Amino acid sequence: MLFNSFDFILFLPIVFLLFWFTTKNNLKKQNILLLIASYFFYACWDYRFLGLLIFSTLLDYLTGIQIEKSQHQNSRKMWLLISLIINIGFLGIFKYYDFFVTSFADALLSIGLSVHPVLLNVILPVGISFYTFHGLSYVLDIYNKKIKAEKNFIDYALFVSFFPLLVAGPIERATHLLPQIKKEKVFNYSQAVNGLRQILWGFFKKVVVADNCAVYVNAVFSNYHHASASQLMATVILFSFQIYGDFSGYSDIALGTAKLFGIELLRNFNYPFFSRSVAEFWRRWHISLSSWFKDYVYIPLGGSRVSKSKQIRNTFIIFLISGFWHGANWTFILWGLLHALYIMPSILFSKNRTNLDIVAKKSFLPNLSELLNMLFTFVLVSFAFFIFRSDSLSNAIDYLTLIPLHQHVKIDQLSISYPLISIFIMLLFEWFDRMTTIPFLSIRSLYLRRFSYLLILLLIFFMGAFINPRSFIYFQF
Amino acid sequence: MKLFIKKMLVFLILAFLILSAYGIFCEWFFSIGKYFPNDSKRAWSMKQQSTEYDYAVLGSSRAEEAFDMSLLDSLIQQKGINIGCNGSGFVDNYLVFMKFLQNKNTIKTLFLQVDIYSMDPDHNFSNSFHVYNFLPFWHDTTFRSAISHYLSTSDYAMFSYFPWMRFYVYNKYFSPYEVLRRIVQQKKYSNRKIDRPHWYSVIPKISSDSSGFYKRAMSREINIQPFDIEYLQKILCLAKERNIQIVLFTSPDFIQQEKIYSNYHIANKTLDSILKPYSLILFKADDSLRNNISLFKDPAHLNNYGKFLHTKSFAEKYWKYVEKMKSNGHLTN
Repeated sequence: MLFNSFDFILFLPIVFLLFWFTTKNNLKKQNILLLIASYFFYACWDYRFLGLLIFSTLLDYLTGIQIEKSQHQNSRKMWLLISLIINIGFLGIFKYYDFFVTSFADALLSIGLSVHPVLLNVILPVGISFYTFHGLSYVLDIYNKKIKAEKNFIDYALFVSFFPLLVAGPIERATHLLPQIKKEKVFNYSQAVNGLRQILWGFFKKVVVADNCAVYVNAVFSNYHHASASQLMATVILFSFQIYGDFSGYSDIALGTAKLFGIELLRNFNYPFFSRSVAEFWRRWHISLSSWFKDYVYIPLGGSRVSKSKQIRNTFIIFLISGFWHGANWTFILWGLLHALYIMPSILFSKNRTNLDIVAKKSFLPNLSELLNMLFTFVLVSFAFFIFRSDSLSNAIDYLTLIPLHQHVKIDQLSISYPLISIFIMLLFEWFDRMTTIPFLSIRSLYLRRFSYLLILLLIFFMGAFINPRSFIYFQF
Repeated sequence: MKLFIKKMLVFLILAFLILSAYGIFCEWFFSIGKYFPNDSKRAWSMKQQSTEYDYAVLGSSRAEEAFDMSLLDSLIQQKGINIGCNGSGFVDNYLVFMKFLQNKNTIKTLFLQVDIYSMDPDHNFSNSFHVYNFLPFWHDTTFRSAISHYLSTSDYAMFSYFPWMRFYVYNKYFSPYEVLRRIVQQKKYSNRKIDRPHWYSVIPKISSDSSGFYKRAMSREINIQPFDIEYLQKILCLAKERNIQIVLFTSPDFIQQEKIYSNYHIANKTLDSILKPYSLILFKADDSLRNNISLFKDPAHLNNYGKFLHTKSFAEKYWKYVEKMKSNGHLTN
């Protein structure tokens, strides 16, 4: 079930009303209802993979208990390894097996050895990277004695499968979400209203910004040999807004939906396109994933409290893994590598902890230097996203080489007006909201704020791209 | 909670009222001929009102591109209209034809293009059915039953309960911007100026190296769509009901096309068998035209010279047919 579908528009109010009117603030009933709703939500995509989700949940639930119970370090380590091997094994089979096998066959072919690899060609279960990471963080936290194992299976299963975050995050931590799940939920008016604000804004970003950009971007990427130089360049820029609108829109809807049930999820985006450096960008983009890698990979490797050379090594490792997490393609790996290179100067000169506050905190507009830094960062990030979007590295190179050559061709009937208008509206609202965590709250006047809700809702209806609703980009990861 | 639900309901009702009001406006605005867009052949065809014609040409872009209409008028000494539309299969043809007749236009003869491409629009046209063109006529059951075939179940259910939602799902064609565009356009052009429009956008010229083109072309197959055949039969029935004489024709395509489609001849035979019970005359394209690549702008569409030759050839065949019918006493004028 997609958030941007008629099914979800029906599903959400039904679950909301059942949750608040039939469970009578009974925690057990609340959690059972949410778990059933979450499994139903997941099964609507593909019921066959529900078994895999339940198996993965059971595995981490049981290994968590076993790790806590074990007296000896070796036994704890063994249970941890069982969890890690099976979790990463599933991820490896579904996501990476074909990639490794074909890359190995290609490598052999380059030295003259021809092999015909056996490919699995299996569909990637939606959300597998996200719920696997939920489970891994839980087991690792128990192993590191940061939390106690959860004994209530319903509560633990809900932590893994809570429907707003099930398929594309944010990647939650047991330390943050489990206590909320275990606490009786009482309706909170302002929290629910904030949730609706986020849902409305998320829909705008997805349906209006991302999906309108997608029409243009997909048309050019699928036919770039016939696109003009300006169309090729515009597409590189538009894809950045598409992926931002798509993923942050999804995250806003997820956070907003969770708020309707009295749950606060981790913030995933914090106005990343207003970043003045790539290091700042990574504190504002897909925050739940970057903090996951920081806590479970970067810090265990020594983090920044090691020599410069090790710090550089750790940075490359974390960005390469981050790229690889997105999928089995060299384009994702190069995307990660590019970001590691972008961030290198700030690590070498120890400047990666600058720009901790949002831009122009004490003024309405940024100064010239801030503006130039923002633009420069945006260009770097957009180039990396272009690699990310390309089907293969050879396609990316082919695409780039066409830019200076394509002055006299163009794809007809490809309008950029809707994407540009929607991006302008999004950036305008986000600029005003940049000090807040909830959209629309920077508008002080109550009437103006209410008017803007209506305006955004009408824009969704008038400008949203609804024909053949598009799935979220991050569903494939 | 009560306050939350109350405020939510107020907001939703307000939004519902605004959206419904715009939907009602769309119902009116987009279904009256006055504001049909001048750049859409379908809309132009459905806009024609209360005019007497001797004949109409109906079909896809291949019919649209098959004739020089002024020449055909003069050669057969009749007044005709070409309502063939780019990318239209039989379903599309039927709806346009029906609307054309509903608008009190009259014809004596229908030149209906039948070919294997129109039997499989899903694979031969970039858009097998242009849903948005017919959405303004949703309340007409004939249109609705045709459109429903191309909608998802949830969209059909949504449009049934909230008919104005169709204007939002297809907002690209019904947005306030489109309203303004049509109003401006309606003032800008008079109907007379587009009486004989050159609708078809420029298609890249077919490579002179035709063998190269066909080497590169993938092997295709015609998958006859029963739904489209059903609508071909409906066109024939509609014409018979109105006592319209039907003349079928096949617009020329480049002969090498037969090599691209693995079942080209089988599909043609199937088409013949479908048409046989109706005992209609069918003018097949001359092989002399089909063999000459210089008459085509792409493998399925004639260029201006090809159009000229085909119109002459068609007119000759038609005259012979008319003479024969007259001598047999089947035709009076």
